[in-house]
Amino acid sequence: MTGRRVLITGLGAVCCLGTGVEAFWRGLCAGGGHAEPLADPHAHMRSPLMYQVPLPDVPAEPRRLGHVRLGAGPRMGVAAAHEALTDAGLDPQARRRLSVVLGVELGNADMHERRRSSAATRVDPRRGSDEVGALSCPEDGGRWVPLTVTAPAVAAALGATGGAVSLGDACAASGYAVGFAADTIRAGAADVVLAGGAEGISRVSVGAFNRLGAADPVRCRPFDRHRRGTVFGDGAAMLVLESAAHAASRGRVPYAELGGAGWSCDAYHPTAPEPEGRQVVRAMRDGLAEAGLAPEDIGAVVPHGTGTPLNDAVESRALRRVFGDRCQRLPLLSLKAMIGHTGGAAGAFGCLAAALMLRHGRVPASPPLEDPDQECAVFVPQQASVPLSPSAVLVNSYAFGGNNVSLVLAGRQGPR
Amino acid sequence: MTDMVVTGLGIVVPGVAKPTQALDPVPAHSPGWFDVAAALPGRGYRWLPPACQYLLAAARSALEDAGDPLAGLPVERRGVVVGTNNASMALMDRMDRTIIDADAAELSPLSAPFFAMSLFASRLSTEHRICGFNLTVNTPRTAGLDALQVGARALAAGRAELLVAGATEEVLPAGEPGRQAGDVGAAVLVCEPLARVAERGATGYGVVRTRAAFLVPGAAGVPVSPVDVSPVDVSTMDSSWAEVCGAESPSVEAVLDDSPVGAAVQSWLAAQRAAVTFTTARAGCLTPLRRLVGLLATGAVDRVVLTAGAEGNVALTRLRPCAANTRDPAGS
Repeated sequence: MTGRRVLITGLGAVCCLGTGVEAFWRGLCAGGGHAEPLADPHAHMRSPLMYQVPLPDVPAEPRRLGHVRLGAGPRMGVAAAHEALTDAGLDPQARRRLSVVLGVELGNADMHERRRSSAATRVDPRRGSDEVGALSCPEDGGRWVPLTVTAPAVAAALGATGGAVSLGDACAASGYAVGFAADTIRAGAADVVLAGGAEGISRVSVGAFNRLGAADPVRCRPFDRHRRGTVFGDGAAMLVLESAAHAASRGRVPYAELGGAGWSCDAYHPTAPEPEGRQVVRAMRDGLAEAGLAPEDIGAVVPHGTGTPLNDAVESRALRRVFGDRCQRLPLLSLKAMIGHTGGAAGAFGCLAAALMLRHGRVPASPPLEDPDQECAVFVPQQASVPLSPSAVLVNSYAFGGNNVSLVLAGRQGPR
Repeated sequence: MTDMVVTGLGIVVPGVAKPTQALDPVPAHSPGWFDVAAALPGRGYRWLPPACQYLLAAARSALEDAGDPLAGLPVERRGVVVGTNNASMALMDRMDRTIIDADAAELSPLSAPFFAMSLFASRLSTEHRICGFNLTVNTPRTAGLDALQVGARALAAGRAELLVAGATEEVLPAGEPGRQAGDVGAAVLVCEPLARVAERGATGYGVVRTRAAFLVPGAAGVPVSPVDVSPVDVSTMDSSWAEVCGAESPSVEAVLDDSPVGAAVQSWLAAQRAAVTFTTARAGCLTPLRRLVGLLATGAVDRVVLTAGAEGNVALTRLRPCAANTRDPAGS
C-alpha cells in the first residue's frame, strides 16, 4: 500500500427522487419519496411495495451489451455513471484508463423475469413491451446471458478499459465496491476508479422478503417501534474515486475524502445479524481507525437502517457501543425511509448522501417516526435539517449472511 | 498488485476425484453425481442449494490439503472471496414461477434467502468461522479469477492473513441459454502471503497474481455479429499482460468462447506467438479456476490462465513456482 489519499470527485444518481444528484439532494431535503405497489400483474405477494424510479427517469439506452439485452438496472447504472464522470471532468484519456468496480446483486434480473412472465397477456408498462421474452439478440440467441452484466455495461458505455469487476455481496455489495476501489487506488494500482451500484426491480427479491416476513406493508420505517421489515427501491448511485495527487493535478475540488473502511463478517446466520453486533462494531471501529479518526470526530451517520426489527435494534446497540452517550445527539440520516432499500446499490447511495451532506454542511431531516422505538436509542432529526459538525460521516452497509462494511467520509479538510 | 502463495486445493466437479484430475475433459454430468451425505456428513447440509454444497465440500478439501491453516489464526484474520455467476439461477427461476403461478407465500423459507448469491460464500464463512471479510464476485465469466484479484488486494491491505478463494456454479434452469454447456461444481484455493507460509512451515503449489481488464464489445447499441471481431479494440491487452508477466512469455491456458471478444483475444494471443492451450468456455466462471487448480496440482506452474467473456471482461492470472517450499505435485 502506498498510503495514497482517496478523494471523491464525481457523483451520479438515479432513484425514486428523480435523475441526477441535484434531484437526489433536493428530494432528501424535501423528505424523500413514497412507496408504491408494483405495476407487475405477476407479483403475487402480500406487500408488493417499492420506492420506484419514475417511468420518465428510466433511461431507454443502452438497450444491449453485445448479445445481451439490458434492463432498467444496467441502464440506470450507465446514466448515473455518465453523470459522475461528467461531474468529475475526466478527460478522454483518463476515461479510457478508468477501472469500474460495481456492487450489483440482481443486475439484469428484470429481463430474466420478463421472459418468464412473457406468456401472460398483461405487460408491466414500466418494464416495456418491446421484445418481451427475449434475453439475447436474435442473431446470437443461443449464447449464455449472465445475470449481473451491469459492470461491463457501464464500462462499455464509458469506453473504460481498466477492468470492470462486479461484487455481489447482496445489500452490502456497493459498500464493498467503494472500499475495494479505495484499496486499489491506495495500492497505486489505479488513479481513478468508478465505484457504485445499480439495481432494477426484481419480483423475486420482493417476493422473498415477503415470504421471510421482512417486507413492511406500510412504508420503510427504520427505528420506528411498528416497523415490520424493509421496502426495496430501485436506482443507481455512482462515485468517482481518485487519488489526491491525480485530482490535484487536474485542479479538482473534491466532495470529500474517503478516509477509511472497515470490513467484517458475522459468520453467524443466513439472515439474522449476530445479536451482540460484535463484528458490526469492529467494522465501524476499523473504518474509523483507517481514517485516523476517533468517534468524536464523526458528525453524522448514514446507518444501514433497513426497517427490519432485529437489524435496526442490533445496529442501534452497536452505534451506542462505538459512540457512547453521544448517540443521543449524533444525527442519523434514515436514507432508506426516503428512497427505500436499494439492495446492492445501498452502500453507494449511503456514500453519495454522505458526500452531499459534507458538501452542504447539513444533515437533512428524515421522515417523521410515528413511534420511536426505545430499543433504538439513536437520534434521527425529523423536524428540520441540522448542521453537520464535525465534518465527517460514517456510512454503514450490511447484508444477508452477516456481511458488514463501514466507510468513513471526511470533509475537504481531510481526516489526517 | 500482490502475490499470494496457494497452499491448498479442493475441487468438486463431475468426473474429477482430486485436483490432479482437474485438467481432464469434462464429462456430461448426470443427476446424483454429487453425494452430499458422503461429502458433507452431518446435519444441515442436505437442504442447502447444490452450489453451496459443492462449495463447502471443495473448501473442506482445500483446507485439509493446506494442513489446517486456520489453527491459531484469529477469526478476524480470515477472509473469503467466492466467484459465481449461476449459483442461484435455478433457485430464482423456481421462486419466480411460484410467485407467478401461485404466491410468494408458497416459497420455501429455508431456500428463499439464497436468491441472494452472497449467501453461498456466507455459509462457507459460518462453517469455518471466517470473520475478516466475506465477498462474492459475480463478474460474467471472470468472477473466479477476479476472486483471486479481489482477495489478494484485501490481503495486501491487511484485511486478513489467509484467504479462501473459489468459484461455485450450478446447472442453469431449463430454457436458459447456455444450459447445455454450463459450469457445475466448485473449485477452492487456500491462499496466503509468502511470509505466513514460511512462518508456519507450509508448502505451496505456486504463486498467483491476477489482473482484470476490459475490452469494449463493439459500439454501444450496435448489434455485434458473432464472427465480426473488428469492433473489439484489444490494444489494452498489452499493458494488462505486462502487469502480470513483465517481459516474460509463459505458456497460456486460454478459456474462451466464440464471441467477438473471445475471438479478438484469440487473435491477440496468436499475434503474441505464445504457446496456447485453448479450452472452450462454459456458461459460468468455474472453468478458468478449474484449469488453474489442475495446473497447480500437476506442477505446471509457469503459465498464465486467461479468460474473457462475451460482455467484455478479461482476467489473467500468472502462475509461478514458489521460490521455496515448493509442494510436491505427486502428493496432491
